[in-house]
Amino acid sequence: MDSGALGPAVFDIDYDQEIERICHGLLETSKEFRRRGAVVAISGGIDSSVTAALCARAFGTGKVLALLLPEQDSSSCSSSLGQLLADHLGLQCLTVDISPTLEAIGCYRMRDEAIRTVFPDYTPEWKSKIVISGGAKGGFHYFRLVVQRPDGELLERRLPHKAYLQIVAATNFKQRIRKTIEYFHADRLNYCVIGTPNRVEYDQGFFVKNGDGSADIKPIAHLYKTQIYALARHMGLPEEICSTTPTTDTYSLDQGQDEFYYSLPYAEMDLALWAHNHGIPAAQLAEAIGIDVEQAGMVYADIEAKRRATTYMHSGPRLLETVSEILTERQEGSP
Amino acid sequence: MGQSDVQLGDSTSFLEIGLLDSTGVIELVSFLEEEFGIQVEDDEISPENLDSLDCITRYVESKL
Repeated sequence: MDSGALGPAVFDIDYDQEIERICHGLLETSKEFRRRGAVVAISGGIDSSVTAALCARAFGTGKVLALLLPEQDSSSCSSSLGQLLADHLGLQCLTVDISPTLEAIGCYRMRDEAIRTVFPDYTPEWKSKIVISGGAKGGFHYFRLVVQRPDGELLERRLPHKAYLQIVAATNFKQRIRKTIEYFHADRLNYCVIGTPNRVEYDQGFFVKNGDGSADIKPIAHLYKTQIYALARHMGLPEEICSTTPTTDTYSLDQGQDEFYYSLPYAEMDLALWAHNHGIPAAQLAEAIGIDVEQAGMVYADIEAKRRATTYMHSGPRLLETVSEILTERQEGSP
Repeated sequence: MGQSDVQLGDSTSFLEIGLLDSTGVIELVSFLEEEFGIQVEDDEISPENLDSLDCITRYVESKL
């Protein structure tokens, strides 16, 4: 491939055929699992919106339950966009505020305790987020904690190891409590829980194990985010949803996914992953997305490093000895 | 932070063998700060200072 061909066009697919294929897969897999519908947690983001639309197409709107699961740090846009989507698709939608559950289980308290080891004056009225730093020109990545005082002043310090682990462990409660509620409704209705990761998230392990990483079917995990945006427009989803910017919606300060996990904004990250998967030399990626060759090489190295680092995230429980009567290839491996 | 099957020499580059992820970097930095009572500045978190056992030894000695 010449470098001129490496661009958004590589993601072009036949969207009608893709919708047909995914809907068939959703129905066949749910039949195999003896479940007869779908529970989808929606956030107003593009991935969960497209997943819910595909489920509505596959199962019919009467057999899909959409869940809005906000908590006190969620953006107010999440619920309004989620509701807009549910109304647009004609889905039954339940809203469960998980803040009291998170409060009771200690999510906010343990997060704030860890933040205070870095910023002793921090109070729950402050906002916070974790950002990734360093890594330029082949250097090391590390994490920084950004806090915002009620007067708007931003402060930023490098996170020590122990505080980083505790903040992440505490905030992971959010995804795990959401998944608990999804499975409650799936069990009560005999539905499948549908996961919403896109290809980059799945490949790079950008999910919480036994949180948003847990599901019965992940119907769009093979699609790049660029394709998911295109699918959203193809399916006629509301413009407000088709033009959303990806965020983590996990921390109280606005946090782009590229601030926390990826080395590039999503469209460039998509292209980088596609190029890496197709053996495109770093020089061609560099030219296509306007970075230098050394940086492109580092992006490829980072993709491989994340794959190595997130083996644990993808691994299901390991048996130390095969139980041949039960174990099948399908039951192994994926979270 | 480790891969148990890696043969680690004093000059082995952690980056080249993929030994350190971002969590491993902050674990290493926190360990050095606590163990040796030094303050690692942000601009010192670099391959020059931390990419091998030899680099770390030189760096820590320069801080003591």
